Amino acid sequence: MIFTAESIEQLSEQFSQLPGIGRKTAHRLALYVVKMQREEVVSLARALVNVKDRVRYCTVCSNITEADPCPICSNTKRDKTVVCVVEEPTDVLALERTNEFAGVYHVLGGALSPLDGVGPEDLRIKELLQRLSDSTVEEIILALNSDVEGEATTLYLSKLLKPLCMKVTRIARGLPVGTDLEFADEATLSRALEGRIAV
Amino acid sequence: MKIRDIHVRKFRNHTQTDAVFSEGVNALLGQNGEGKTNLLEAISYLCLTKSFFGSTDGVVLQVGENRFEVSGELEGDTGIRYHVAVAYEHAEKTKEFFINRTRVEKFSDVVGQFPVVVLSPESGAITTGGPADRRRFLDFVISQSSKVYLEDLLEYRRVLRQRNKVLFDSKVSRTDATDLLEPWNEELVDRGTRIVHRRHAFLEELQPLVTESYASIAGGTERPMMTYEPSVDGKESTSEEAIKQGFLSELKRKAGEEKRFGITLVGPHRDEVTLEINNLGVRSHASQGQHKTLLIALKVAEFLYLQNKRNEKPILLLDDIFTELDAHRAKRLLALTNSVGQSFISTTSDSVFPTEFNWANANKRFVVHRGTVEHEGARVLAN
Ligand SMILES: Nc1ncnc2c1ncn2[C@@H]1O[C@H](COP(=O)(O)OP(=O)(O)OP(=O)(O)O)[C@@H](O)[C@H]1O
Ligand SMILES: [Mg+2]
Ligand SMILES: [Zn+2]
Repeated sequence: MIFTAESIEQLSEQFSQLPGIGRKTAHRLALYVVKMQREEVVSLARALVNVKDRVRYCTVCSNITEADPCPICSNTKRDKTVVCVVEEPTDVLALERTNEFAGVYHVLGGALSPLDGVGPEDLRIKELLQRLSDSTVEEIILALNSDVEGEATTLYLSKLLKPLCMKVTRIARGLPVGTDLEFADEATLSRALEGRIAV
Repeated sequence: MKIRDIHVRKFRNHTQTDAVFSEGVNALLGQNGEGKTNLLEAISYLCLTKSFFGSTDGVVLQVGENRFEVSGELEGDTGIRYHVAVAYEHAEKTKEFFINRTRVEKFSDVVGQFPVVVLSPESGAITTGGPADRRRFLDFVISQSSKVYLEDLLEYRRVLRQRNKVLFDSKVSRTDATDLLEPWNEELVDRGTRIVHRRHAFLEELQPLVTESYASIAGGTERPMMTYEPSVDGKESTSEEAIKQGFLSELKRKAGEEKRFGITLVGPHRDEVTLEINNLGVRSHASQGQHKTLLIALKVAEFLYLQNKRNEKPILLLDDIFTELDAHRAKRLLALTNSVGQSFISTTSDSVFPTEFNWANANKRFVVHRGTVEHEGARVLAN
């Protein structure tokens, strides 16, 4: 498809950069924007910029938040002695949906993947170690995806954390092979959390 | 397993092909370049979600088009019917697979449900080619018999690429990567051990089937032998624990070399299966006829193995093999296809079918011409 308007071409190009959006869908979205009311488009644009301006990373757990520390870290009812390590903010959402976990989180920002140029220094591992050195954490739960990258990260972290003399566990392998945490249903996730094993 | 009908859209040179197949032999007749192999490839998409030649989705998509679709009705040996469809969109680079109109999440769930055995000119590489060709053969068959194997294999390949990247990076930057390698080592050994274990078991089960089918083609004096030679130690001991220990010690032994080359040198991706006839290496010593006989024996064994594992007769795809085989072996194979279940046989020449071949009932002839497929009508060639 070749558009006669340069600006549509540009917008379409921008959309196609988003994850899960192919060229065709990007074209469709761009054409949809043309049909939208001007106010709608403005508020969409504003919403995009707002997210960028307001949302930041929690200085404690690295989750995305508007208030720092995030609502989970600043909640006095949460058990600060148990830290659940996850890859992405979406994993926090998934675990929160289960209503089973009363501890706090640490968001790594990904998993080890040499092919994508992601090494330990690209994940928030330093922050995790720092957090452990000056707090009263008793248990670390590694809740990473069950793909090979998630598992490599679990193995890497267990080796790093074990000498620090705390309880290190990983969620049970109830998750189907290769699934992302965020796509697991609540029941499966609860079971995985419950059946966690020492590493 | 049988394919009752197929509908192909914008796939290779098949713009719009619809065909109703017979339960027995389906002969695809046509000149070179008319679309016979392409139709077999479409069948492969229906059964395995992909091309058995390893062609990518973008390549099989009709030139200049954006979307291809293959759909059809399959029937299991117990009579259960499945509506199966696969569709690919080039702009989105998405491929979707549907069974009974429900989207399948993971393609590994499909592979093996509709078992197929393929014999094409490329298959010759199993006996004449290098270790990679024989590994491909093992993987193709075992993947169809075990979903766990396929998943292990896919993960193993991913781990291997990740591990190779670590080795390569450390070679280039001249830094020590021991810590970074460790998690990948563990995953490599974990998947790798299961793969080797499975290959052991597979070859053990396949051997008597190969021996038997070879004898039925060539008579009893020649004995074919397959010997598994895993890259990790443990050739003699086939317990998972022994394989794992062998793997670990081999990794340790080759660590320096791996570092120097920046690549993984140990694991099932470097396995070999040697083939022998009467204790002589097939690649080095076998005659052309022996190669062909062994190939057919392997394929027959593959068929019997899958049938046994899946409790389902595989669909047999024979692409152009009669140009490769002589009349005697072709006849043997045809006799077999008459008894196996459903088969698809592509050929440029009618003469490969014996004159007494019965085209009535369960067998059908199709003429493939410029990407179209037409049923020639039941016709008894005899007299
Ligand atoms: N992606 C594609 N789009 C359109 N046409 C294609 C595509 N890929 C291959 N073809 C055409 O399909 C034809 C080859 O078809 P095919 O390989 O099925 O032939 P065949 O009948 O098996 O012939 P042979 O007897 O020589 O093996 C070629 O003419 C080729 O140009
Ligand atoms: Mg061909
Ligand atoms: Zn926080």
